[in-house]
Amino acid sequence: MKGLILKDWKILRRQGHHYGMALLLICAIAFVGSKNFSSFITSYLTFMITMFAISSFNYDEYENGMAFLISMPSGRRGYVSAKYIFSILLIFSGWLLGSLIRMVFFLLRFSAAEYLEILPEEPVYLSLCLIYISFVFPVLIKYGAEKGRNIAFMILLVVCIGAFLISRLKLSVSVFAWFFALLEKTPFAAALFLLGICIAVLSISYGLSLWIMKKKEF
Amino acid sequence: MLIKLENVEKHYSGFHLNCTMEVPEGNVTALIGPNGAGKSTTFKALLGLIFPEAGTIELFGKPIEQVTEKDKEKLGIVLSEGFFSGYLHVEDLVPVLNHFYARFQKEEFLSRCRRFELPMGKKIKELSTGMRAKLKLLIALSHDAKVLILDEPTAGLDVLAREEILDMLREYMIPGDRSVLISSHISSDLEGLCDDFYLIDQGKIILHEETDVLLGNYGVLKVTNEQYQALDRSRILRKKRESFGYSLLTDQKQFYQENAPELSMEKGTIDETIMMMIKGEAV
Repeated sequence: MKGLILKDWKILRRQGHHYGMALLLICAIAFVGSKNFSSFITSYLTFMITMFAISSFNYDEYENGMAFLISMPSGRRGYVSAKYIFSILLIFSGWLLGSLIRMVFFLLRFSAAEYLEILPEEPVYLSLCLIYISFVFPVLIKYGAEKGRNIAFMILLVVCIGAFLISRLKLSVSVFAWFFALLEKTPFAAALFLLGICIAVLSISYGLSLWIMKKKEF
Repeated sequence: MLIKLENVEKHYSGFHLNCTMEVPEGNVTALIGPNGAGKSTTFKALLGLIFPEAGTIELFGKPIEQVTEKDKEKLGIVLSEGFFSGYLHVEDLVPVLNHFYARFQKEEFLSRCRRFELPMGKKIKELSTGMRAKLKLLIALSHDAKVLILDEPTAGLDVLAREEILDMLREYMIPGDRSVLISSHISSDLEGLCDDFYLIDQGKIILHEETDVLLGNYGVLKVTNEQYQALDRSRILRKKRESFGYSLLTDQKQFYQENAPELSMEKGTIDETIMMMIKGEAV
């Protein structure tokens, strides 16, 4: 399984120049953009890394590589486990980097007090991306990277439209209202709540992916 | 028996695999046949990439469902289609393989890469067909595997590259306790390498023979219609209509050389045997 994780890491490093450019862009935006725009730093970086985790399936399917990888000693379970571990670590690292850049941006241009005000929203970006891969990974494993990517895009589109409608129509959704109240009053409890949700959704997703992979033929 | 397939069945639309074969220790066994005959499907079943509807598959004497990660480390695999991502560089594979296989022989692998002039700093997708085929085989040979499962390892290669690959396999077999299952439709490659071969057509094994027996005892008689009528056909396996009369495949060449020396007899080759077994009809 370690070999599979290392393989994805090596591919990421080989494609790293794309991500390096994006990071530079983010830093530039961070130091010229407004305070309100700063959420872009964490959200964009976390989402960009999430997209790499998703595209790693494409690299595996390059010239039917998936069958070869499944034939390796770690097998089907090892493949699924490696994908989840690699992606969670990667997304967490991307989010942490984004959060750190945003923190530096606030401390240099504004104040620590203002930074503490926006801090509770940071775990939301991480949670959204982890929940997103939880939905997308079983689809990618079931339908393959090419078809699965379109479905993943559809899922993202539905989520975005849903979020837009909720904000636009000022729909009163009790769960959201409850969560945002929790976020303001006790950010730590809200972060723990999010962590719990992420662990639950990721666990269900992992189980589903494994079940799909064990039945899949190559 | 290191590999054993017994009545393994798999149905696809327009294709039905029904395969029984085995590979003993110390043997190089070939699975040969035309494109679409079922070679890759057999390999996929053996590697657990597809699930047969009937039959049993054993690897290292265990049912395939009980084969562990440790057992799989004793397998070296080349798939005709399927390899590491083309975006990885050759040098990236060294640490990756080191984590895949406890017995990965790093120095040996690197020295072989140098010997075959594989460019370590190049992306896999930028390698020529020959280079990539060599790399696939070097990886299969890199971790002291007990069994090699090689699906078309020489496909698309020129004569020189094919000979290099066959030499690597001969070298691999020197210790004597290893086995190879290899498929190819370039059967001439296999004549000097394999101990025995299975001929598969339309999903069924239609012939299993030792290579020495085939090369020594098989022959193709070329006869006119009159000669065909007068011939003792009890030792003829297949006949094929030709413009001059018939081509006849026999597994008892000597019988006809002694009893009908006037008949034209061609030496049996794997290619000729495949052709006669598939295109010919039973007598």
